Amino acid sequence: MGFFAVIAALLSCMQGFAADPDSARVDAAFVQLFAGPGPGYPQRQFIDHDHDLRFLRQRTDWFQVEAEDGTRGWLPAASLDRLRSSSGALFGLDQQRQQLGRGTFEANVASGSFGGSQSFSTLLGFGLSDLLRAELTLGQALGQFSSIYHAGVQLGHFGRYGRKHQPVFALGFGTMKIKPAANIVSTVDRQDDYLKVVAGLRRHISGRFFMRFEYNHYLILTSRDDNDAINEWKLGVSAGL
Amino acid sequence: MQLTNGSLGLALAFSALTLAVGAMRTQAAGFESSGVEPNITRQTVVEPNIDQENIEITTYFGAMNIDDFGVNPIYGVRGAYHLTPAFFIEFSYGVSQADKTSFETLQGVDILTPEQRDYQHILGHFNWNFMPGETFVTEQITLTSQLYANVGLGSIDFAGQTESAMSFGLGYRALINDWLALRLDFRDHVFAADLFGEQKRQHNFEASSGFSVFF
Repeated sequence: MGFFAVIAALLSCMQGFAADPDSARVDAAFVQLFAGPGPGYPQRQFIDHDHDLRFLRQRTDWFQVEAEDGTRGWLPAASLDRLRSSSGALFGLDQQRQQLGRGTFEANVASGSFGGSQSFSTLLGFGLSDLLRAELTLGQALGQFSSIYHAGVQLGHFGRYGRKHQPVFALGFGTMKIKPAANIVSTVDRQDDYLKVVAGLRRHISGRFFMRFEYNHYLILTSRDDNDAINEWKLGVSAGL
Repeated sequence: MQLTNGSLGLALAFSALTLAVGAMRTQAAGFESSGVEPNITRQTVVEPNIDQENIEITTYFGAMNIDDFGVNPIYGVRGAYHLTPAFFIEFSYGVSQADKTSFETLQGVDILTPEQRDYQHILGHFNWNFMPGETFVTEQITLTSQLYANVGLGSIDFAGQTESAMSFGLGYRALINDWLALRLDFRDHVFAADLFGEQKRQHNFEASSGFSVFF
């Protein structure tokens, strides 16, 4: 019985793949094909109603198609609703990618000011739930007198504000290496742990992409009598993976 | 049997309810018998079964002026991700080696050690395809092409120092076929350094060409 259930499941999977088509028929009066993948390119030709198209490749939200006579052109995603598959199904894009929820990865690159020095950082996040994310951060700040390299982890809470905005609040810790510039005499590298608090805002731009603005406050646990505090402001772009 | 007022009221209410339900059933049966039925079926939505090709890898070779150290060959690799038809982000890694300054050549001295002459930059650029179109090479050959402008940030390793840098430039991309493109790039990398004891803004101008592959 179990064996038949597995076969049935496999068959249903195969049917699923078969139902995901690479060809379509024009259901509207016509569709326009462009010379390149973007609205700025010239329109090359029209494909009339009831003619077949074959999908070749996708670049951003544009699809390269080949008509029955072999001519090729690019079609915007907005024109997909003018096509039907052989089984009569509509074409569309998966909208799930626009949500960075549970189980999704987020890759981010950002730049800003780290205590007055220019900073660059990357972040890889994973959605523990729709609101909580575990994030790994790497960064460097290049100052006139020293370079700072830091790595850490943080736990972030992402709220909801309207459809596009998400306030971010996170707490994290990590380690920081401070390398004085080579032209300063008798330099000694220093490595300290840090704690940090993060506040910011993430905004959906388009598709899988987000803009993320953050304020990071670092408390550096030095071996001296006093700890150091550094503020960082940064702006970055995130992509849902 | 004698009915009380309460029992009578209850019986009347029950009778009225029975009549009302019966009337509704009759009305529903009337709809059924009329043969007018909504014919609504859920539409199936599918995605085209093709791969996305938003990643572009470029290998390039060119010449770069390292401020005070002459014009030198540079080569490297770039990795881009196309966000929309108009915008893409790109990381560049380039290496070069500085020549001697005029002072070093004339005086026969070395200001930098051979290791300190190694130059490399890692830059992230934000690019805007501001002029998409076509390039007419001959009457028969037409290439899809783009002109793009970019600004970038990153770091430059040179003379034993790591400096933060800003970069901006223009580029041209012509698609030879659907997955291969020819690229020409002109970029200025600006950073502040104190190689000779005084903080100075350096401009490293880079001109390069390369081939890129979409996948």
